[in-house]
Amino acid sequence: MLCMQTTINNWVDKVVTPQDDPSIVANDKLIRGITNRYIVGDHGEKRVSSLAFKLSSPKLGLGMSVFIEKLIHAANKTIEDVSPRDHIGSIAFMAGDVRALGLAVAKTPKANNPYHGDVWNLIAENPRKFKNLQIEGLREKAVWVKPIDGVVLK
Amino acid sequence: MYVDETTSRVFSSDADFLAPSLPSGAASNVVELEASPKRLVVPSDKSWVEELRDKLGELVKLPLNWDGYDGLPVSFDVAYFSVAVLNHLYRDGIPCPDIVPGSDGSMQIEWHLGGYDIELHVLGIYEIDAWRKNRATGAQDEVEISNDLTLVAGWMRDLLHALHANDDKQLGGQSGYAAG
Repeated sequence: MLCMQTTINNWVDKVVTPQDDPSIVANDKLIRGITNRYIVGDHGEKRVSSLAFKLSSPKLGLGMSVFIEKLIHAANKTIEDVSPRDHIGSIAFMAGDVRALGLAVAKTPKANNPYHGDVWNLIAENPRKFKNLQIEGLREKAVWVKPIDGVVLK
Repeated sequence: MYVDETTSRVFSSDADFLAPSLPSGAASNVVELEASPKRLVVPSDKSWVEELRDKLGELVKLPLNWDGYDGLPVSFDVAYFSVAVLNHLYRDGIPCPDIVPGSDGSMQIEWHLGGYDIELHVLGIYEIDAWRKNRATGAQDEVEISNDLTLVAGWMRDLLHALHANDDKQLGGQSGYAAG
């Protein structure tokens, strides 16, 4: 219980003001890890759930977590080097495509993940969540970095 | 669980079981979800929840950072309220939905079948973001729900109708199901 409370407190401590970072340029790649928990049935196929394209914590103002690829490369590492084992697959968006959907992206390094970034909704009337058109837009623009066998993205 | 047939609400009485104090095996329609340190005890006589019992138990026990982004396990409040919602929306003939954990302890209930996408993102007690898409027409509905599930109950009826219509089509109109 203490462990859980500590984590929740850490989440609150980590809340940052949503912002857009101009040092992340249009062709920078944002990588999102996919766990097996995000895989759902879809008309006889397997598909990545829309939850993989949503804010991590609307209530706490946390954005959609991503790895910023150029930060990984700057450390002479690869996405495979820094991905947790639970990420059985990964997808990527270009920062320019994300912004074209009315979203913003910034670096939000964490102690255990210095390559971490957040994607937020800055312009919507309700910044605490993505609109479904934005979620569908992210899915449309996403490409596999590490595909998962038998799972479709679109 | 009290159901108003004119509207479709999950009343506050449905949340009475949020205090998990029922003894083990108290009734045949009680589903126990093993969880630590608290035990999730869920009244249910509906097959979706029976089918999802093990997975619900897993989701409330997810390890911290389960998603590699500091994810939390599904909260007990969200799990209990989701069970109430699932029991309330249950329709015989609609397959069990998928349930997906959110990083913040929320949970999403999803059906993707019969030409529909239906997603209920349960953010907390009486706090649901609901969305439906009709793939044939592209029409989308999006609504924030507290306790009035009338609209989503209608989505379930539409989905059941679509599934029956598909069955009827495959059987060449011999299933006996009268569309409309």
